[in-house]
Amino acid sequence: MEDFLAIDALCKRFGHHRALDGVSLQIREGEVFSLLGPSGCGKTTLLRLIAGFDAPDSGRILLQGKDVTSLPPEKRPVNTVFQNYALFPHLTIRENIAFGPKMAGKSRLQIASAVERMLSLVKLEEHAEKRPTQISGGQKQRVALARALVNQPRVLLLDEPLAALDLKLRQHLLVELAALHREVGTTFVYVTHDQAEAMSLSHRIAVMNAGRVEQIDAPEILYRAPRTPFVASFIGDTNLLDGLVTGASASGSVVTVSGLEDWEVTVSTSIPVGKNVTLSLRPEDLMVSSLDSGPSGLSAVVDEVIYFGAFTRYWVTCAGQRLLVQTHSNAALARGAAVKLVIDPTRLHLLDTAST
Amino acid sequence: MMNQPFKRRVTEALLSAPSLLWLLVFFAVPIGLVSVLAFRPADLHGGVGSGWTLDAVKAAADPAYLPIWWRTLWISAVSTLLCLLVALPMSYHLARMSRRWQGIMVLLVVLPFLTNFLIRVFAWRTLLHPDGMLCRALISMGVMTEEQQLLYNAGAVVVVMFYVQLPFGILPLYAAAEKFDFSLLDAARDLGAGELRAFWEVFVPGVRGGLAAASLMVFIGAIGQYVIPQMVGGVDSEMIGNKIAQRVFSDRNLPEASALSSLLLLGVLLLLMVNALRRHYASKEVPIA
Repeated sequence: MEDFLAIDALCKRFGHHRALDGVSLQIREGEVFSLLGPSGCGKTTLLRLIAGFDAPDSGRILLQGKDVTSLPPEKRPVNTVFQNYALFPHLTIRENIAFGPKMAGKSRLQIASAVERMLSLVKLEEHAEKRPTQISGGQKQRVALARALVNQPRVLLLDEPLAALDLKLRQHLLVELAALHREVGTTFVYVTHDQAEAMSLSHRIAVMNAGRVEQIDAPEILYRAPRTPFVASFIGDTNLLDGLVTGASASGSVVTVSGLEDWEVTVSTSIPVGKNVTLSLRPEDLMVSSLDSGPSGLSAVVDEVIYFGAFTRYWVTCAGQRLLVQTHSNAALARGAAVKLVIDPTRLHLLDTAST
Repeated sequence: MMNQPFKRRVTEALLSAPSLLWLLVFFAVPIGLVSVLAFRPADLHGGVGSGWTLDAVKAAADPAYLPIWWRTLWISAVSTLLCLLVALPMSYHLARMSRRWQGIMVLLVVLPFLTNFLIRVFAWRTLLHPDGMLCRALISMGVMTEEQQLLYNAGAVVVVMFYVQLPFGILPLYAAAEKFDFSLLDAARDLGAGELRAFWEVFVPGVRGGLAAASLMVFIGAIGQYVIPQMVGGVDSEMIGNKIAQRVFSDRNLPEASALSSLLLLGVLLLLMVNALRRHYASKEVPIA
């Protein structure tokens, strides 16, 4: 269903800082929707507005067509998993999970069965009588999830739920979170600054920067077709190249990439001649090889080699332009080696320069 | 040769000696003297005789004192309750203020201490006096009649006690509230608790250590008061402190005063021990995972 949760032109200032500068987006029922961006981009502010902890200066929040903008948090069918979990330290795990149904005025029997169901969902039955200080970080995270899901919210808000955990546990819980979502089917709004987390979990991602939404798309589209330089460099690594439109062709425009003077590419959009543009080129779409083999290419020099096991990364300089290259080949190219740089022009992606 | 731990212990002992000596001379010795006096006979000239007797202890255990003990307890309990009822929301709001305002507000809370205690109680006497502006205003508004009094009753004692003891309730609660994680209140609201419910279910248990400290400080301070009932109370609002003062200054019966004081001291010690046990078990509850 479209427009399950609609964010309509939200603005929020803190003093002179514009935390949210007219954000609009639509979240569909049952999807995992991520708000992704660097710290201070407004993603947590947006989450707090959806939860009802803060009120926007202007704009509306509609849940299933109903305006909830001025409802207090306890009146919204929305629950939150907090970054620091915010488990009640004076209550046991069981009592923490029971807090929601207790506040909702459920009967003792209903509370007990709901808590039991959540405990088994997050596999914490044997820790039910412990206190939050007695369990590990990963377990706390699962308690926070159970506590937020027990009231069967329409939307589950997750505020960087994995940020406090170490890498291995984070990867493990990410898989668990995806499985949990399949099981409960609740709409997830997931706030994170970690693009890998967002990419692996989400159906759609809103990339935010400086209080605005830069682009909303599925992870693959964000990666393959970023609209702005910010999105291109925030989602994965990329080479940003400056270009100048030098001519028109039947199918679009001819762009000369600066730095690589004699290199002209054709793009499918038609842009007025003389306009400056930015192009994005992913490191894995570049190839380096030794001078004596393979297809022809531009000549470059290897500045740095970083070996990752599954792949190797090279920093190369080509006609004064520094480029990042990622290859799976094991052909060891040494630092300082003169190499051939092969670029597939179809992989060059033109960024929307109007927004920069 | 002295080994290191021993040497360190000697240094520690030397460094803490002055304060230990101070405590001993001005605290332990007087308390010891008072409890010894309780077992001495009183002589006719207001002094203390020689030999040992249980007369003073028996006199202090006289059931005639029971109503006064009872009044002492309820006046202290009611003023403690009032102090907590005000100090709890105050500490909550204090802790949520900006650093700057917290400093200013805490200064305002302790400001009355800069004025002499007796003068502050005297100010209340003036305020509550039948010719004082409060009484005149209430009478002219028809809220009370000329025959009624604000001064010289147990109510006046409770009100002034509340005023005097309030900072002792606010400060420990503020110290606890300042360490409270306010995101827990967001979590409670998020899970369906209204503002007041979140306050009672999450904030109050969160500052229960400060709550215990505040109750003790206010209650213990109140239970030994004799100046306030003396100045704003009437004949029907005497507390045990007044009786002790009477035994010392009017009756010149030091042993009986000492026996009453020792009883009071024992009661306070009992309260402190209960609190120490509570803290002991509270700290045992949270082993590190």
